[in-house]
Amino acid sequence: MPDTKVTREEVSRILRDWDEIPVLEALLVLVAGFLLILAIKWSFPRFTKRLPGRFRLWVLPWEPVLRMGVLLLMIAWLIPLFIHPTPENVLAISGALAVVLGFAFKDYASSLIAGVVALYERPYRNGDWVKIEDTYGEVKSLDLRTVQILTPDDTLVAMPHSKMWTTAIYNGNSGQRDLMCVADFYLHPEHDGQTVRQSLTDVAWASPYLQFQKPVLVVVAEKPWGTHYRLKAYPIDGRDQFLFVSDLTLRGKAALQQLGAVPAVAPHAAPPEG
Amino acid sequence: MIALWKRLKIMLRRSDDQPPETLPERHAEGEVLDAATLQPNWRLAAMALAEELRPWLEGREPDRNHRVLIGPPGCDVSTVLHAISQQQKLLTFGPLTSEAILGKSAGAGWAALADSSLSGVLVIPQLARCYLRHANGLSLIRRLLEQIVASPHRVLVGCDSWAWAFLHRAIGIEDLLGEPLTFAPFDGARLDSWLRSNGQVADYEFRQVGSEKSLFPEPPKSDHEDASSWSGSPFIQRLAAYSRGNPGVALAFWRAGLRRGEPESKESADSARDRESVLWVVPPSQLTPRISDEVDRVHRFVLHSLLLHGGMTLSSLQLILPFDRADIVRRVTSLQRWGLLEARDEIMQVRLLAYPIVRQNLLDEGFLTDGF
Repeated sequence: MPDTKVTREEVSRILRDWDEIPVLEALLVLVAGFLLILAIKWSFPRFTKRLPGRFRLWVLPWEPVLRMGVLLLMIAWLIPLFIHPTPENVLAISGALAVVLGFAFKDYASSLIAGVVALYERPYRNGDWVKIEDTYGEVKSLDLRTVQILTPDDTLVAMPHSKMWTTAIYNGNSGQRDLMCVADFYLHPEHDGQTVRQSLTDVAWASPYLQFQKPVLVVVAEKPWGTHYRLKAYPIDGRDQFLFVSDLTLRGKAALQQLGAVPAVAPHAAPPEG
Repeated sequence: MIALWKRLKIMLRRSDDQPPETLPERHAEGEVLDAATLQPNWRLAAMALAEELRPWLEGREPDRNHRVLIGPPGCDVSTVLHAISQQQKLLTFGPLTSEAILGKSAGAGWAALADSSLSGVLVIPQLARCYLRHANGLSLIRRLLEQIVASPHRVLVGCDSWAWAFLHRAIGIEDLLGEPLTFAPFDGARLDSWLRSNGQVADYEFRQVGSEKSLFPEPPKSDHEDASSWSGSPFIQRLAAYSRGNPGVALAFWRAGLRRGEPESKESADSARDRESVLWVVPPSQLTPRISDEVDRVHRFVLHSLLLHGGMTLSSLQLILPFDRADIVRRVTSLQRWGLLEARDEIMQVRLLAYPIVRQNLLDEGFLTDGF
């Protein structure tokens, strides 16, 4: 069978003989690379915790880049140990891989490629607060196939990178420490709006969480049932966003009570007829 | 990146200075401490300021109704303004309690600002003690500033630099009262001259621990070419830089760093006399308390609040911070244990020895700081 014989010869030209393959070296490289990747993943968050807060989000996003670098180095080291690295062999292997990825692992491959694109385009990075579909939380880790997002309820969600092809990604801070927070207040329409607005601005300035480099804004909108105030401000650190909003809300409630402002009442739903 | 590298160096090393081989344990204290150091004479500063402001105090600058003096912790602005007020017999407004600031009749005691029957300059030595970082406190200080701006009198205001920085961001105080005056920083030459001004300094030999060199070498004569560039010994220059030009902080390090040599057995009378006249000075970096790894955000909020208000009582802290009293007490206790905080007459303040490192830590973490 000439075709099979040619194929076996072709395969043997691509792959090295078993006695040519430095198995021990390959194992060592694999283990060392794996341990190095683990060490990077373990040490980066701990290292950045010891840094002053303003440097944390400069350093954290480099963690997945370093891991990717180590992985590429491992692959570049290991492949020549198993195949003869001639241009024809590399093309042949790539062709075979393309077929395999195209049919059997296309979703996995899509996520892998999206992960590499995410490292370059940075729609999210470690330390960012993002919303992807219904999931909102802090990006903890960019792995090969998924992005690990920790939600405010302490749930770790593994979101495939491939979501970025078709889904909008909302990023609250994009590599910065600050992140806008909004505290909402709903008041009965009969009150002095200017006084309430000034009081809510003072509420933001009184919060110890407030970031001074960013503005404090009170947006007012009149609704059929009352007046909606949105107090917008930035905390020093985005990780304090929930505590910050809680502080603004409680201080705001106390201030508004002192002013005698009455909260709006939600309108009743009209009962069905009949 | 340079700042990051410096922080990495500090994290990896305990001290920038090499530890001395032997460190004298005996602190200089009592008569020796008083003789070898000096207390800031704020009355002299008051006289200098009064001289600077003479045209304004005498009403010869009609286009300016308000003058402000600000200073960092360790520079006692309120004492300076009190001294001017006493010298010139001016009406002075005292600080307000927290209850007075947040109460319904807040600001009632400042009616004199609008009283045109009064004459002369009105003095508010401690504006930082007339506000609280609270919605009601900000509302009050806003009303008070409006009264100051509208007052028919000239008003002299003293304010802590941290409170000034906060009030400028929150309510634009500098836009209302104008650019403030402040003390010139103490560089090496000034600090050297000031420390030497204590007449009894000449009775002692001051040396850095681990070195035989005098900290007060003979300065070049006035006609020497190096006279104009004389800036004190390297130790004094480093002390001035470490203290950020703040004489109060520099003096705190100086006093805390003085050590005496240990008596030796079988020493002659001459040798004992020589040893007693030598005082060793520990570098400030070895006196600075370390920021513990246990410091969390609440600790920093406590420190920041104390700096913004020039010191506070525990009950005032509880009014402005969104934490339980137990949480605040726990943080205050640990800050005192680490040497970052001290309490005097129930008022807690950041220790002057800890001030440089606390300021740097707050700046690194993104907190608002003063401009000194």
